[in-house]
Amino acid sequence: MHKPARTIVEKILESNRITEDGDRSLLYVDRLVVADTALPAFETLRSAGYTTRNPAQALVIPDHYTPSSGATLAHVADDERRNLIRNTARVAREQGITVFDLGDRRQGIQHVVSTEQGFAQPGLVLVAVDSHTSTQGAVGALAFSISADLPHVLATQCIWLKTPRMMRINLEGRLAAGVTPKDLVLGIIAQLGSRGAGGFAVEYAGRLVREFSIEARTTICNLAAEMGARLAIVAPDDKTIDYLHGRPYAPTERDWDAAIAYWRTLPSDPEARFERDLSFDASDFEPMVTWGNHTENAVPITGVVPDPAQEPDPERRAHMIKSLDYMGLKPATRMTDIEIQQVFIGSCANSRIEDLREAAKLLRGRKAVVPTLIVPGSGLVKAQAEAEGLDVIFRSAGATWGEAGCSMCNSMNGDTVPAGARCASTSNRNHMGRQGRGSRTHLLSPPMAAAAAITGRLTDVRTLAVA
Amino acid sequence: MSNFNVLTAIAAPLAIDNVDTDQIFPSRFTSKRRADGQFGTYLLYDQRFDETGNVKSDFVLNDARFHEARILVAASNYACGSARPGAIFSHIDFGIRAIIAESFGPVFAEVAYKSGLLTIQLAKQDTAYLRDVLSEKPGSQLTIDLTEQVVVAPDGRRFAFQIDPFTKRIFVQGGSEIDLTLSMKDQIVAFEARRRKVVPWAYDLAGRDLQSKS
Repeated sequence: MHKPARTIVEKILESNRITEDGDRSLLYVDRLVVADTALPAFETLRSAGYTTRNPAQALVIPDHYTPSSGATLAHVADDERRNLIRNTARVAREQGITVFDLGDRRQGIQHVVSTEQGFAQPGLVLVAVDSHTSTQGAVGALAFSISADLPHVLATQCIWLKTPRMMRINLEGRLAAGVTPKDLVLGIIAQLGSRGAGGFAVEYAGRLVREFSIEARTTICNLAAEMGARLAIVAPDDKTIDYLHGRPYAPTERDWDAAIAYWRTLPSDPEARFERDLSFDASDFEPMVTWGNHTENAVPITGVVPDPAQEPDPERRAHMIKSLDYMGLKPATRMTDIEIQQVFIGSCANSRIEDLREAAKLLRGRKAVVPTLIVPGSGLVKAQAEAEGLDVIFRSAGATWGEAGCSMCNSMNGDTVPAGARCASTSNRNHMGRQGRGSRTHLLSPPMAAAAAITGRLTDVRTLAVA
Repeated sequence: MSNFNVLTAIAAPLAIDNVDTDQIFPSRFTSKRRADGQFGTYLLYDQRFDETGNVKSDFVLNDARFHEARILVAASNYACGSARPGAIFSHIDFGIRAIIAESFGPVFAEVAYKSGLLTIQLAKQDTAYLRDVLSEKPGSQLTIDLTEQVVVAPDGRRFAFQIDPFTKRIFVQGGSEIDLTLSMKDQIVAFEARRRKVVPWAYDLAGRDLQSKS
């Protein structure tokens, strides 16, 4: 008797399932990541008379309210946010949870930090409030957002999850020069739409994904949230194993061989069934940039702002008209004719060392003509970048080199884009008001953001020489 | 808190796709405290108020006939984006008890009902029909009957909807999910013991936080 063929997601769901109720499973949570937004959840927990069930399986990583201007509480924008960072850390410690405080070199964006610490591992169920928790699927973890369910996970170490449908996205071919994993995933979202993966768990597979670094995998898993997926995953392989070896929370030498043997059992069986099974040839993609207020509003940099008059669906047309009005754009405007007033390089989508290296290649020996904020994903990424001299390149270009955190992606720490100003941003969302009330966000890749900083307009990175 | 089996209330139409949580609960309010139900003030704030705090009269929820709305009828992908809990709580504090839409963001509908905000999915043409009816006669009421699993339009047209028994039970009882889960504590404890044998390396965590700290 063979076991039925299963996907990696089905395997992990099965191994962590305590019980079922209809189409919901009570899943055991191996890892919980908590940010500085969690104080109300801890208060709910306490007022209801519960305590944290397994504090050793949780990690507190402040990132939403942390300042980019300096790694101390004194730099935090105001008392309201300072108290949230301080009190979240205090309450978490009272519950016995480890905290990476401001000033700790390990602090940074929760998804970046929990990955680089080896806290996220293949086959583990990892949850966090944040919608971009799909990011950690890059190392083969079943990682997803729990939103207002944080008190439940703290109290029970479990989560009720509706069984997702299975979707595979096969990535084949090669990325052309100047085209990054960010462009690829923006292009896929533009094709599939904001609801393209709604209700699905996305597994990225195919030869190109195998060639991708863990950093590149985190970018595509991160953006899966913008096509409606609650979770995304890449099956572990030799790259994953090499990446995890020696990381602080990774298995120690004593368990290493057993862990690898277990991880090798996780990839989807060859006969596993996917309700949707899509393939994309990466060589078809160009550098992408968004024009509207959702990530799906992405077009090649060689393209133009679309015309709502061509959109037959009334709700979609209403959305387009509203977006163009908010963005101050006219149909048929060439994307490369759009001037920008701000550049942001960072966020859980693109703040890892490879992203910073790509931006530095463009900025080396050049000047940014608009305010440019570059924020690494963690203190350790920052240290690595400085060891490579990237900070000197950025500063020489006139950019601001910030302290790790979410920063101008969601602007909860006070790093805002002024009303009416356009920001070329490597983050993952361009929603109305996200970077500050009236801010206008154009999403793109790190090299494209660097190119925009140099010219002051959206620019095809392939037209600029790399130093 | 216990919630409704049957709700008859004024419903407001939001005929636009992709109303994201950055619009529903702007990020600058996330650091505010939810004291005394005040998150209702922030619901769709930048749609309801202009830069100087004046009411935008053309926004549907600012129409006096919708002030008592307890139901929203939205379009596709409502509450997509950030999973900030304030996006749920701001609806509740505003007085919204249920949202009907073609589809919701990936996490919102999976969590909102636990806090007392029901989400109902109907087909695209049915949400469009309801919004048209509500726009033609602003201030008219819908009935949501959870027992019958049906939405009743002002003209009597009925729209059946699916809701799984688990969601229905948790919603109607209100706020009991932690207790429900903890009632299975023996199973959880037994599972933990087994789990620690399957992936022992995942639980050997003592002292890890001290590594590479500098």
